[in-house]
Amino acid sequence: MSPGKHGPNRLRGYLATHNTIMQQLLRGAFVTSEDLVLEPDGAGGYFIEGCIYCLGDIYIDVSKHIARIGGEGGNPLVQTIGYRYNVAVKGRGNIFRYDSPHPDHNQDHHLHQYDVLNGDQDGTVEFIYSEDEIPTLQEVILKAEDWYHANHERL
Amino acid sequence: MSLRLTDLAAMTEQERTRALAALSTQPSPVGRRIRRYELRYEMSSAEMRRRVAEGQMKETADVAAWLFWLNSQPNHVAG
Repeated sequence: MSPGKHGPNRLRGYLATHNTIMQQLLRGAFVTSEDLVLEPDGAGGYFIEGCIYCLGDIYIDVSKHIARIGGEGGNPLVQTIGYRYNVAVKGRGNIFRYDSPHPDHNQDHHLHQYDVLNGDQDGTVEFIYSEDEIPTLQEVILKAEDWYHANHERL
Repeated sequence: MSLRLTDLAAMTEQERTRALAALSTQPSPVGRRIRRYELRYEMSSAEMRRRVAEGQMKETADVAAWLFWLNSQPNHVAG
């Protein structure tokens, strides 16, 4: 990804920003809990992995690859190079999912969208060509919240 | 090995730096995760990629997770 909101950052700064945003969201009404963990990628970088639980039995499965692009030890320079944010309603199905490019198909950043309340399991795929439209995790959570407010009476 | 992000946030700066440096030297869980998908679906990752590319297999949330871990391997070759 090119510089911008997804540009390189020092790991500690990256995690501090993440923590501030998650604390803000947890103080709000929509996000109820989360179990995100940091795991090693075997090359000096990390994965953020886990789930964010929200109102309406909505959950967000998060897999994010934060690669080390410079520096050593506990505060390397890192950058997100892959992600998967799957937003679903427990027992019903997926609402939407943002994926980084796949190797053999859907080879650009893309968004899957499902009409989950009408049983849609195939969905549609929309490609993302602008750096600015690749969402941050916070933007994904806010989009899920918008969906909840628009549909909560049908849940 | 993993660290909860909320636990990391509660550490002192010194503890956090030590914990992050120690974590970065641990083995990656990627290979184990990929093998779990291959066992569950009873097919190799190469076979899954072929089937998805040819439209014989849907890109479900599970498959997207499998693809994510495949792409995350240091020796991953696109295409």
